[in-house]
Amino acid sequence: MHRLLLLSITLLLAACSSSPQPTAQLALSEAAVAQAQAVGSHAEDESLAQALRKLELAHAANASGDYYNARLLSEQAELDARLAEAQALIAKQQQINQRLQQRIDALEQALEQRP
Amino acid sequence: MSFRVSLAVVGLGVLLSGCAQSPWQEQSQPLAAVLAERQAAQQELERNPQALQAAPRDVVRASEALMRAEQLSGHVGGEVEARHFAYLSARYSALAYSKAQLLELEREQTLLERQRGQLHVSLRAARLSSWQSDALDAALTAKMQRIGAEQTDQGWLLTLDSKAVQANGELNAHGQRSLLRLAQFLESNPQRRVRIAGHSDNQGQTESLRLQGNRYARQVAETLQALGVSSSRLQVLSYAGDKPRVANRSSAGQQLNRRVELLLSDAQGHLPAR
Repeated sequence: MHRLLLLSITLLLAACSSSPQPTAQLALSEAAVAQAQAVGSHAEDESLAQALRKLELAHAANASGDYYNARLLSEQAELDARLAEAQALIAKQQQINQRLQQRIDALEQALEQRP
Repeated sequence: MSFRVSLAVVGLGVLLSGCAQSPWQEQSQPLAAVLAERQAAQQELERNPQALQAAPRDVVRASEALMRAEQLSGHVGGEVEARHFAYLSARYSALAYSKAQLLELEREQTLLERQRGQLHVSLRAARLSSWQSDALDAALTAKMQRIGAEQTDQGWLLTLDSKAVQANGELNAHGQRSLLRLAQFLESNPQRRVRIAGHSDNQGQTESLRLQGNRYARQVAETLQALGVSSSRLQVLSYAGDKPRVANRSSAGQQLNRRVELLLSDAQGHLPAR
């Protein structure tokens, strides 16, 4: 019983009190957001909107010394941004394929009109 | 309960209240339900060959984060962090699916490009054979020579020089005669079309040269329309000074370059690329 309590306390201490400042993680998340925006992700995209909101909250938590929440928020923001990047790449690729398909349709039509 | 245990409980309470809260975290669903849902989704992800091929590392990270979440859910005060890792696991999973979709689309692009290339080749072959049949057609050749057109590698071409189409856009008698014969030919060959291209010299701004070329070409198109050729069969454009016949060094050269060229389509109405 005592041992369990001690373990819980230790875990809590580890989780809450001794969080280091997540400077590197914040930089990583910033870079992920910039990368998503660079490949054409917009703030209207759900994933990027989440990344931006969480990154803002993470910076606020970091500034107020709440490093624990700053870390959680910026870790989530990083993955939100990476998902936004992947979705933007998919949208681009879909456009490319669509244009190719239109070109193919036009060529097929031109070929059919010949005897 | 011993004194030390109650002290520990009080200490725990103090620690909990002192511990950072995470009010931003989504907690509407019970943690156990979140984890059960993630577990099922993870099993499905690991059975998806496309995701495993396109993003093996994200599949592994999704699994690791989920294991972390399950460990943490067993600890007192571990719920916030457990939910956090469940979220990360879901994101890695979504990333793996997205990368799989992207890979699929890229493969599709390769196939589409190959298909387009083959169609280009077939179309070029079809056009070449129809042009060759034009070139070997003696009756057509005779008619074209009467009009004043010459054979080029793009098809039959009638050139109206700057004497035929004057600077004010008027046509001289020679130009009128050529266009009349062309209109008669087009009337008895309703599939054929004509590209009317205006050319200028290089004496001026590109935009005004383009307009000048366009004005000549439009004048010719209007004459043909007046002779009964439907405008839908005429393609009017201007190359400005982009395609000179000779160098623009002398005024004689410039005069030769100001012209209108009429290119006859093949028998099916196809014109070559500009």
